[in-house]
Amino acid sequence: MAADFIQNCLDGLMIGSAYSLLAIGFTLIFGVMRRLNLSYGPSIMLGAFLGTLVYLEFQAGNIVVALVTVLGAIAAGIYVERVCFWAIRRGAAAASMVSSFAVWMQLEEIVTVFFPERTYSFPSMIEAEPITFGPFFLAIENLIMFLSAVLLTVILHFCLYHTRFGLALRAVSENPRAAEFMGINISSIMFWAFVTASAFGGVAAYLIISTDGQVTPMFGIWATFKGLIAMMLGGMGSIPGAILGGLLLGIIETNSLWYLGVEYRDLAAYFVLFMFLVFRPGGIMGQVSVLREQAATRRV
Amino acid sequence: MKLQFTGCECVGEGYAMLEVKNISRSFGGVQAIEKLNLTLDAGVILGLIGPNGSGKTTLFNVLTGVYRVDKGKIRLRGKDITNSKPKEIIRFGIARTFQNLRLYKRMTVFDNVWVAQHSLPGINLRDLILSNSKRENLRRQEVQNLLEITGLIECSDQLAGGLPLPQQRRLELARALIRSPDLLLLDEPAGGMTPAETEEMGALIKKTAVPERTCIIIEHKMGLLSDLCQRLCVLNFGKKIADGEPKEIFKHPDVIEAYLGRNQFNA
Amino acid sequence: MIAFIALSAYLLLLVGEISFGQQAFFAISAYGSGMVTAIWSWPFWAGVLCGCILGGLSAALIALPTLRLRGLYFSIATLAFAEMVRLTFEIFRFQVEVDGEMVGPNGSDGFRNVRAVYEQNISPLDYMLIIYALLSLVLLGFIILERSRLGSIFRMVGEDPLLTEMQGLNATGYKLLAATMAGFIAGIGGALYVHLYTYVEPKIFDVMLGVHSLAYGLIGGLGTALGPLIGVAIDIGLLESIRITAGYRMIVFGGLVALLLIFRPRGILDETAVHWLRMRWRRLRNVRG
Repeated sequence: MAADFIQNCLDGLMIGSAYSLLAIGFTLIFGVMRRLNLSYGPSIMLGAFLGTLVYLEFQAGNIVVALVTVLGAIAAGIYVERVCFWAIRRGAAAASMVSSFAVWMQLEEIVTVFFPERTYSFPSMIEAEPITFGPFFLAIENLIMFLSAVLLTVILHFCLYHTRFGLALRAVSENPRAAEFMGINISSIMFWAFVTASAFGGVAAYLIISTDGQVTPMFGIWATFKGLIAMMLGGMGSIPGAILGGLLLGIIETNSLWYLGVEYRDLAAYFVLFMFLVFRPGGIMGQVSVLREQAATRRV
Repeated sequence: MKLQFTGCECVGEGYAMLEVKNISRSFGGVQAIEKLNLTLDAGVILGLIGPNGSGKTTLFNVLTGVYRVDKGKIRLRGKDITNSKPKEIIRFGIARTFQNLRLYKRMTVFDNVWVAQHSLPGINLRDLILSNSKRENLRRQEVQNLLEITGLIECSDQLAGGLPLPQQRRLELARALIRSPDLLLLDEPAGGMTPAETEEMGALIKKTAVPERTCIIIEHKMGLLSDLCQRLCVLNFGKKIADGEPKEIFKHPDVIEAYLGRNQFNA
Repeated sequence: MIAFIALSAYLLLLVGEISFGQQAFFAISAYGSGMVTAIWSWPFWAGVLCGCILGGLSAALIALPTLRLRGLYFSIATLAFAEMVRLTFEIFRFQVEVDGEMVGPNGSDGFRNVRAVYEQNISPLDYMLIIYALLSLVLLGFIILERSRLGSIFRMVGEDPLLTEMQGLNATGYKLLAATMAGFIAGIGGALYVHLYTYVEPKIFDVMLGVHSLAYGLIGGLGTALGPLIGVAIDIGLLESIRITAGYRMIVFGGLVALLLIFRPRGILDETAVHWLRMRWRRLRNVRG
C-alpha cells in the first residue's frame, strides 16, 4: 500500500514538474502585470502545433521541433502581450482578462482552422525502458521532464537574483510605480517577462506533449488551468510557490487518480484549490489575509 | 446649518466633544502617531498643522476607524469609540473629507451627495427600492438645498470625475455636510487651489461648515486657518509639539523649527 | 437563456466582483428544477421557482466564505467552485423509477426526459413567451434597481468599497445580497433551459460558458443592464452574419472584443456613455417643453 502511494508521489512529482513550469510562466506574468493571462495555455499550444507542423511536413528532428515550439509560443505570447496587456491602461484589470479570453478564443480557432484533425502526433522524446529501483519505476521521459524543469528553474533563479534584468523584474513586481521612478522601463520589463513566461511555457508544452506523443486542441485550456491551479496552490505571485504548487498538484492528481478513479481526479484538484482559497488564500507560501487597512493605505 | 435628516446618535451631555488620550500608531518601523493627547470642546474650530508626514492624516484615519490604534483611547462626547469600524463612525456624527479626494467618479454630483443618505436610520426597504415616498422627496430636497448652498447646483448633473478641482473639493464638503455631523474633519480642503479659490473655499467653510459645529481642519495654508480657527495644534513626527491660539503658535520656536529647520538665528 | 447568466455576471460586476462561475448556479437550478418536475411531478412553475431558490441559496452559501477574499482570489474561487459543480454532476446519479422508466440525472450522460413542459401542455410558442416575459421581468427589475438607492449602493460598493463603508454601509453585506440575487437570476435561466430542451448534461456548464457570460457584460457595457444583452446580441448576430466564413467567427469576434476593450474598458455602454445618453434625452424632453 505504501509502495503504491510512494510510486504515485514519484509520478506526481514528475508530472508536477511540468505543471511547475506552467505555473512559473503564469506567475511571471501575474507578478509583473497583476492580471491573469487566460491566453497562456492557447499561446503555448500554438507553439506546439507549429512544432508538430515542422515534424509532419519537414520530418524535423526533436531539437528543431522543440525550438519551433518554444519560438512559436514566444511569438504568440508577444501577440497576447501587445494586444491584451500593453494596450490596456493599468486600472482596467477586468478588461485585460476578458481581452485575453477573447484572444484565447482567437488562438484556439486559428489552431482548429489550420489543423482540422482531432489529434496530431508529436515526436516522442526518447524511446527507452523505464528505470526501476526497488519496487518503483520511473519512466525516462518523466525523468527528463523533471530534470529539465529543475534546470530551467535554476537558470531562472540565477536570472532573477543575479542579473540586472532579474532585479528590474522583481522591482516591478513589488511596486511598479516606484520602479518607474527609478528609471526602469516598465513596458520593456513586461514585454520580456512575457517572453520569458512564454519560453517556459513552450518548454513545458514540448516536454508534456512529447511524453504523450500527441497534441490536441484541448491542450490550451488544459495548460491554462493546470498552470493557474498550481500557481494558486503555491501562492499567487511567488516563484517558489509556483514550483511547490505544481509539484503538489501533480501529487494530488496521481493519488486521486489511483485511489478514487479518473472522474475524481480533477474534482479533487479543484476541491483542494477551493479549500486553500477559503482558508489560506496565500497558498503554501503566502500570507493569510488582506486587511482593510491595506486597501485604505492605497489612497487615503 | 442644521439639516433635518442626520441619522446621528446623540451621546452624552457634559463631556468634551472629542477626547484623544495617549494614542499611538505605527506602521512597520515608522511611528506615525506617538502618545498623542488632544481635547476638543464643542463648537471649537481646531486647525491641525505640521510638516508632511507628521501624522495629521493618520490621526484622521484613526478617528474614522480606517486604522486601529496600537494604544490609547478615543472618546466622542464621553462614548468610547476607539477602534470602531468605519461604517459606525458616521452614525456617531463624524464626517470627513479626503486630502486626495475620494469621490465616486462614475456618478453624478447629485448622486455623490445623495448616496451619503443611504445609511440613514429612517430608510426602510421601500425607500431602498422605490424612493418615491414623501420622506424620500424631502431627503432629495435637502440634497438640492445643500448643493445650492455650496454652489454646485449648476453642475449637479455632471459626472463627478469630470469636474474641475475646486468643484470636486466643494462636493466632498457637501457630502460630508449632508449628515449634519457634530464633528467635521476636513483634510486639506483647499489643497491645490489658487489663492482666489482658497478664499472662496474659506468663505464657504465659514458659512456652511463652521456654525454650530466642531471642526478639525488640516491645512498648510495659514491664512485660511488663522481666519477660521480659534485654536491650532501642531504635530511633528507623530507627536504634538504645540497647542494654542494661532498668534502664539506662529511665534512658537518649536513650530518654526519643525517647518523651517534650525539655523543660527533660531537656535 | 444565456442572457440570464450574462445578467447574473453583470450584477456581480456592478459590485466590483469578477465571477467566472455563474454557470454553476445555472446548472444547480437546471438539475434541481428538472428533478422536482420529472421525478416528483411538481407543476412547472413550482419547479422553476424551486430551481431559482436553489440557485440563490447556493450562491449565498458560496459567497459567505469567498467574498472576504480579495478580487482575483475571489474570481478564481468562483472558477474552482463552478468546475467542482460541473465535475460533481458528471458523477452524480440519482435515478428513480417513474411510470416504468428510469428518470433522473445520470452522471455524464446528463439528465434526460424532463418532459414537464409537454406533459403539462405548454406549447413551444407559450414557452417562448414565457422566456421573454421572464427576461423582461428581470430587465424591469434591473431598471428599477438602477434608479433606486439599492442600485446606487451596489455601484458604490463596486467603485470604492472602503469609501462606501465610511458612508455607513456594510459593503460585504451588500455584495452578499448581490451574489444571492445573481444566483437567483442565473437559476431562472437554468430552469428554463432544462425544461425547454428536456435534457441537460454537465458538459454544457464549462468555464467557457462562464467566461463568455462575463465577457458579454464587459463588451456591451457596464453602465446598464442592457449592456450584457447587447453583448449577447453581438455574439449571436455575428454568428448569423458571418455564416459564410463561419469557421473564422471566433477569430473575428475575439479580435473585435480585444480591440474594443482597449478603447472602452467598461464596454460599449459604459457609465459615461449611459450618462451622456441620459443627458441628451433630458435635453430633448426639455426642448419639447
